[in-house]
Amino acid sequence: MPPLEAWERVLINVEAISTGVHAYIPCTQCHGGNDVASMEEAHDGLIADPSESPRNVCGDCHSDVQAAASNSLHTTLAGYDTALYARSVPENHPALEEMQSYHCNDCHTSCGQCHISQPTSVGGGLLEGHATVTRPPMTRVCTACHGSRVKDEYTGGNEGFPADVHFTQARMNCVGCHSGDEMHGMGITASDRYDGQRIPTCESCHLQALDAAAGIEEHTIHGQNVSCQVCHSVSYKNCSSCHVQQGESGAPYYEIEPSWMDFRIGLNTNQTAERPWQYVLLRHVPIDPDSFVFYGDDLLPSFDNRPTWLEATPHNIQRVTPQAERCENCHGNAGIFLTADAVAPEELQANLPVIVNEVPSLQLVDEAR
Amino acid sequence: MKSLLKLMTVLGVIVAVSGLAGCQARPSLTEIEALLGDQPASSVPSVAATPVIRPTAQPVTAPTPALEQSCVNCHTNDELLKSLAKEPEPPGEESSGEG
Repeated sequence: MPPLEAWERVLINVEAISTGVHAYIPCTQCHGGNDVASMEEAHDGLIADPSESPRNVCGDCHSDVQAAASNSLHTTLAGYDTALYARSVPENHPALEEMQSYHCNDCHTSCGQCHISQPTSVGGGLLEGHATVTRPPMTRVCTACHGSRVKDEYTGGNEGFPADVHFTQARMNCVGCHSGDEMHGMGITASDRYDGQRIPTCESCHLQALDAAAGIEEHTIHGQNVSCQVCHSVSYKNCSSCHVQQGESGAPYYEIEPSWMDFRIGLNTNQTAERPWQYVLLRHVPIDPDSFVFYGDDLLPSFDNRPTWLEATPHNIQRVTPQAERCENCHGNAGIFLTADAVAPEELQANLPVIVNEVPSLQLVDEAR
Repeated sequence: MKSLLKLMTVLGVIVAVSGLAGCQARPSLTEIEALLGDQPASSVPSVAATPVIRPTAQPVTAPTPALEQSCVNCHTNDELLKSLAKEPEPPGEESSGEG
């Protein structure tokens, strides 16, 4: 759908604001401004999104949610810092923070930008005439931001590749797996999206499939060694060489190489009790040593400290996939593993921790039998 | 005998109604179009963001129904809002989301 017109974005539905406890909160209590007839005076001191920091009026009543949400990745964007600082040095952080203020920070969200309006980064606009929408709609909120990878993978937007079975068969939207508790923060100061408790998990619904009694031999053999997506995902989008800069008018923009579809199994560098797998899927991220050169030279001097192929959990789950159909489609098939020759020479050092030096052989299959 | 016939008739009706109810169509799954219908196609250009700071809770003042405020008079009037709207903004770059 086209972007909302300016007037549509602020059009209030009387019915929507007449019901529920929020109807008893005057507009000016959250938005500031003045309760007068003059438009200019009414908007004097107006706060468009009162759920933004540092005020966040939602926390006045929903203090438990707000406390957790203020530390969630949706609010802090800490994942960016984790990825950038690992490749940089402290003296470059101010320049990187300046870059983020133009290119990254508007991608965060607030309470209101999920439950009242569309996120500002996609143009904003009230969802249902200023009704408080308990479960944010998938397309206008979740995939409005998570569009280039998650949405296309989940809904089958990548031509030639199937949509996720949870979408085509179960008609599940994002909140079907991703609960409010997860979205509002996990009670920790997360450094990236794989930090802390592993949720959602496949086994929270498919526990029986992992049980030996289910008779699925592959689950018994691979359960602790291979993440679910390795067998149940198909090819997914990869990006490279993103460069950010500002136009003559100061408007920030970026240039990026065309994305490509690929499927690569690599080593799990974050093995924990909850993530015990040796093998996970890897996605090439758009970072480049010169990605931020507009904001300073050599801002990523420790580029090799972090792989450019990083763990991924593609949202295109299938029950049957090529690699799950036959043992030899994985065993001995170097084409779906991230081997050294699949990595650009200049990125080899950065990716040593995730590169598979020895592809699991067919002999392993015979031994298992 | 008549009572028995009446009883059997009533039982027959109950069984028939129950059977019909069981044959009713199950609620259909959500249409995929309904899940995809409102995807925004464009975004506005990026703007400088404000720093993220942990907010401090503020006391809630005595409630006044929002409908009593003058804000609602204008913001529920689509014709007025249209007349006040500026020229349409140029379409922004397509949302690349995580890209």
